[in-house]
Amino acid sequence: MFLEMVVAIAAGIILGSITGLTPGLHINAVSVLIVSFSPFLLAYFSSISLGIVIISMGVTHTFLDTIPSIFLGAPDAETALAVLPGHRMLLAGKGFEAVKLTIIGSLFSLLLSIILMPALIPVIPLIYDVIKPYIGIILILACAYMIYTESTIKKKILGTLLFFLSGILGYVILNFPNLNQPLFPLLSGLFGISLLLVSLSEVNIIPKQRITNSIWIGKKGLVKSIAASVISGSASGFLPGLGSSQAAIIALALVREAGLYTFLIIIGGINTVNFLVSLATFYAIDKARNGAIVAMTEIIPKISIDEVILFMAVALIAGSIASIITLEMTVLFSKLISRINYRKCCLTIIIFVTAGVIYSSSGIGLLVLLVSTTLGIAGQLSGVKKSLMMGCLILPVIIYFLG
Amino acid sequence: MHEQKVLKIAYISSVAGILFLFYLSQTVQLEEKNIDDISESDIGKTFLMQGKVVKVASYNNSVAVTIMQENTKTAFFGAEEYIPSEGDFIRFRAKLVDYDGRSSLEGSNIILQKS
Repeated sequence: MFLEMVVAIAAGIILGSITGLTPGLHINAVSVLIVSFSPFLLAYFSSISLGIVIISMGVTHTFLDTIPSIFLGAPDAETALAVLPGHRMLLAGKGFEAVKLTIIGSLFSLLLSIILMPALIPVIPLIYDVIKPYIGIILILACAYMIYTESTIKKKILGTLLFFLSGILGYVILNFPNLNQPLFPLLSGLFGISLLLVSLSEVNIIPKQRITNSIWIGKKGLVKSIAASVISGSASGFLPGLGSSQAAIIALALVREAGLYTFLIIIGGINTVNFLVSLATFYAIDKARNGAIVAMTEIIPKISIDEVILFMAVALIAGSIASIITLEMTVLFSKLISRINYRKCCLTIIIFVTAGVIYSSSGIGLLVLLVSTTLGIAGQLSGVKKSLMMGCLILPVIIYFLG
Repeated sequence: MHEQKVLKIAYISSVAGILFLFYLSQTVQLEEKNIDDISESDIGKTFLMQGKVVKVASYNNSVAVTIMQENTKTAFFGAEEYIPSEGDFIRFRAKLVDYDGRSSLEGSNIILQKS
C-alpha cells in the first residue's frame, strides 16, 4: 500500500507538471480522463491511490502553471492576472524572479493552509450560509475600490468602461450556447495575445534573464500577501461561483498598495489554497468547488477525516517537490528564452494559441479570440489597471448572485 | 497620437464585436432533444425541447415546469419568464447544468406551440 501511494504521488506530480507547462491543458480534463479509465484502473489500484494522483496533480499544477503565463504570455483562468506583471518582469530580465515569487506564494500559502485546516474545517459550514448572500456585494466593493484608486478622473472613467465592456463580453461568451471551452479564447485574447501584440510593437528582444538565489521581500509585505491569499483563496475554495480570479481581485483590495512582488505572491498563493480548501469543503459540507475534486468524487463519493489528513500530507509532499521542479524548469526557460528570436517566439505562440482555439472552440471561438484581443489591446493601451479586465469573470458572478 | 488612434479603434471595434457576438448567441441554431436522449454528457450544452406541460410550481425566484413526452422532465425557469399553464404545448431553450453534483435543466425563451 505504501509503495502504491508513492507511485500515485509520483504519477500525479508528473501529470501536474505536464498540465502546468502546457497552455490550454487543464487538470480538470485529465481528472475526467482518470475517472473514465477508473473501471480499468481500480482493478490494479485502490480508489485512495487514484485520489492521491488527482490531489498531487492538482497541487503540482498550481505551482507550474505560472511558467507558461509569464514566459509565453499564455495564461489560464487562474493565472491570467499573473501575465501582466510577470511579463513586465520578463522584459526587465527578471522572469526567474517573477516565477520564484509565485512559488513563494504557493508554498507558504500551502503550509499556512495546512496548519489552519483543523480550525477551518469546522468553520466552513458555519460561515458558508452567512457569506453566500453577500458575495455579489463583496465583489462590487472590491471592483469599485480598484476603480476608485485610479489616479485621475479620466482613468476612473476608462477603468469603469474597461470593466463593464470586459464584463459584458464575459457574460455573452459564458452564456453562448454550446461554445466549447469559452474561457480559452476569452482569456487568451484579453491577457495573452493582446499583450504579445502590444509587446511586439515595443520590444525586439528579451534580455538575458537574471537567475538569482535570493529575493528581498519585506516581512510585512510577505505576511500581508500570504494572509490575503489564504483568506481569499479559502473563500473561493468553499463559496460557489467565486473562482481564483475573483478571489485575486478581493485579495488585491485587501492588501491595498500591492507592489509587483506582493501581487505575484498573492496570485501564486490563491490557486494552491483554492485547491486545498476545495478538498476540505468536500469533507465539511459535501460540496466540491473544484473540477478536479468533482472528478475525484466519482471515484471516492465520501471521505473521512483520515483521508483528509492523508490528502493534506500528499499535498505537502507534492507541493515541496513541485517547488523544486518549478525552479528547475524556470532556470531552463530563463536560459532558453533570451536565446530565441522574440518576434518569432511571439508569433509562434500567437499561431499556436489561435490553432488551439480553432481546434477546441471552432469558428466562434476564433471570433471570440478576435474580439477579446481587440478589447485586450484597448486595456493594455488605456493606462489603467489591467486587472479590471477580470470583469469578464467578475461581472457574470455578480449578476448570478444579485440577479 | 498614433497610440490614441489605436486605442479609439480598439474600443469601437470591441463594442461592435461584442454586439455581433450577442446577436450570434441569440440566433444560433440549436439541436432539438427528447427527454430520453438527455444524458450526463450533455452537461453544459444548450438545446431545444418541447412537450406538454403537466405541472407548474412557483418558488421564490424560479418556476418549475414539468413537461411530458413519453416520460416527464422538470425544467427551472426564471420568475421573469412567461409562465405556461398545465395542458399547454411549449417549446423552449434548455441548458443542462451541474448543480451540486446533480444535473438540472435550466429553461428559457418559452414559445407556446399549437397543440
